[in-house]
Amino acid sequence: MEHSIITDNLVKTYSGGIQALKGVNLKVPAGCCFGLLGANGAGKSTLIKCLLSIVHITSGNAELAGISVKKSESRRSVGYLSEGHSFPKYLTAAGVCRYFGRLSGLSGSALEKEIDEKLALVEMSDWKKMKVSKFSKGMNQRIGIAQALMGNPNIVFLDEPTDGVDPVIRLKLRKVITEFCNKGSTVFINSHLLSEVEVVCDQIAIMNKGKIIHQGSVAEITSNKNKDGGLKVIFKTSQISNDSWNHLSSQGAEKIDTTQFSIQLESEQNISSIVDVLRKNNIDIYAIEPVKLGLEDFFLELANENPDKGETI
Amino acid sequence: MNSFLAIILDTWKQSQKQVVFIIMLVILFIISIAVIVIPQKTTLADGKTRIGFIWEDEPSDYLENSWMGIYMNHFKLLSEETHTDIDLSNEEAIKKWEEDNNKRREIIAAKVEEKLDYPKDRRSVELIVYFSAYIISFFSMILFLASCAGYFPGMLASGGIDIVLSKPLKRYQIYLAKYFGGMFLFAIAILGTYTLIFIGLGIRTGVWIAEIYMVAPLQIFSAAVLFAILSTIGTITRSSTLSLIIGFVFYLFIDKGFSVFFQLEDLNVFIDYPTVSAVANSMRLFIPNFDILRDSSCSSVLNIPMMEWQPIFIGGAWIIIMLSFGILKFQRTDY
Repeated sequence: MEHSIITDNLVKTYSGGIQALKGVNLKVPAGCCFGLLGANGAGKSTLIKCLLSIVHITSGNAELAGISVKKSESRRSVGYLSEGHSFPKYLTAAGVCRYFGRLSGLSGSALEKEIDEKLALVEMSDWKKMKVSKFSKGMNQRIGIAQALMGNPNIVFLDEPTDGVDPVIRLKLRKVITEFCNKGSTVFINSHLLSEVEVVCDQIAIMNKGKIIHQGSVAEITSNKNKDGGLKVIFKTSQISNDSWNHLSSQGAEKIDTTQFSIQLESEQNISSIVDVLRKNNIDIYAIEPVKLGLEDFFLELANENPDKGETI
Repeated sequence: MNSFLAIILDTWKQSQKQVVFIIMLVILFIISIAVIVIPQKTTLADGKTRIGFIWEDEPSDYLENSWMGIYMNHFKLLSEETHTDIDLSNEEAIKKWEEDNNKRREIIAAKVEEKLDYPKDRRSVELIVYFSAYIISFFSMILFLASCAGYFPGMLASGGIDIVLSKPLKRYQIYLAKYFGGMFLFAIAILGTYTLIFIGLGIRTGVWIAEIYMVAPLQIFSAAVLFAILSTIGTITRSSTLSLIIGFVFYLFIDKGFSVFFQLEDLNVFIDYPTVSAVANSMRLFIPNFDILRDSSCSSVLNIPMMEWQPIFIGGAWIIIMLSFGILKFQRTDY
């Protein structure tokens, strides 16, 4: 499999001795939408900055499209939206795209066409000539995404792309990112919003204290096949007799509230026995549904398992 | 090249946002207009033309006499130049010094002779340009200093530089593009001002002083030295205010202080204090003397051969050292 981004034992120690990256090994397949998750201070932004040579690598290697990040050519076809970016206040929406488009090597009519296309993509065409100083945070974020996509780069790094964006626009931006990814570009998203990563990304990595503690596909993580979340039983009757509850709890049932409980089953056949117990006690069953383990649950579980240490995979 | 131009263009847009740069352009424009409007051409009864001031009923000899005074004074100073470091025990050295002096006197005499034939109205206009060059030099340097102090801190502001660094550019290219962007704007402002004066005065007086363009190179060079210093300070401190303060202190106090110190040494004030004299002479090798650069540039309007190469070499060295240091700092910093 071809990889757009490869890091090999990447270490970054800031002056003052703070070790932000402690040997990061990562391989991002070409053309995938990749999500990097982690708590604040996990080293996510530092990793992106190392890949773009915004901060210098202390040791280890990293490559973008097979070229060492130490060479400026590695950034030949790269787009980037930084977290908490601040565009020059004297530029208009089109001016921002024009400036960064030019820095990426675009010029002439191709540049102007790109500006119109990308502003339309993030629905900012109507504000093309307005100064960015007058924009809300969400509008600035959209301009940020537009400039990052200028020239249709092969690799796009988006650090908190939907930060400060309202839900409607967020949905649209997700669509933009997904479509861009479908065209063959690699999109690397760094986000706190696990639900967003779950929807948009194919692959994820989880960082903790400067190390990658998990990498895999989103489908794997959220699938019940990988890890069973059990069943959630919701019933209408308000009370379960003590005897019945003792029986259920002996099989691993845990009360959620007075009208529902969850239970882990060893095999699917056990569902019938649970139903039998409930019927025997004249309990009206409202619903029995599988509990799906979301990315958030997985992330929290992993974070609890690794409170202090990270293991490279 | 496209990226390089993009940063230069961005510097222009950044300048437009800075009130002080606009003020500089406005002041330069006002000076140009004043320089064009003040002189007045009058045709005398004998058919000859004279240049006076607009407030004079009849043109006086003031401008012509002042021109002659300044011209002769400069040459007088030049002809009195001596080699203070000459070895008086060495006869050959003395002989060579005498020969050099004689040659210089001959050149000066020829120049003066040549200038005496100058039309009087040309002398008057040259004098006006000479003084206007001083005024333009003073205001443009002060205001450019205030303006360019913010160029690098503005570019390096948090949240702004990350995306620029993520582009396929080497850091030294970004740094130099910003530097040349600032210098390009200053050069345009200065050349625009002199062009306005050249055309305006030419039309108004009928005298076309092309020598006005000889003033610009050294003025731009002085600004380049100052901007190289400020760009390094701005890269290290990332503060416009601090860059501005340090820049002003350097230009208005440190450099001026040394300038006075060197002048006192030239006047042999420290003749009884050889150590102080030695310090002054050695400091000449390190301090870019903006006063000498300005005098040399303005005097070129009068065609006075008083170009001093030492401050130019020292200024050039400052540009190279400051830019190298600034680039090194920019290369090594994590943003």
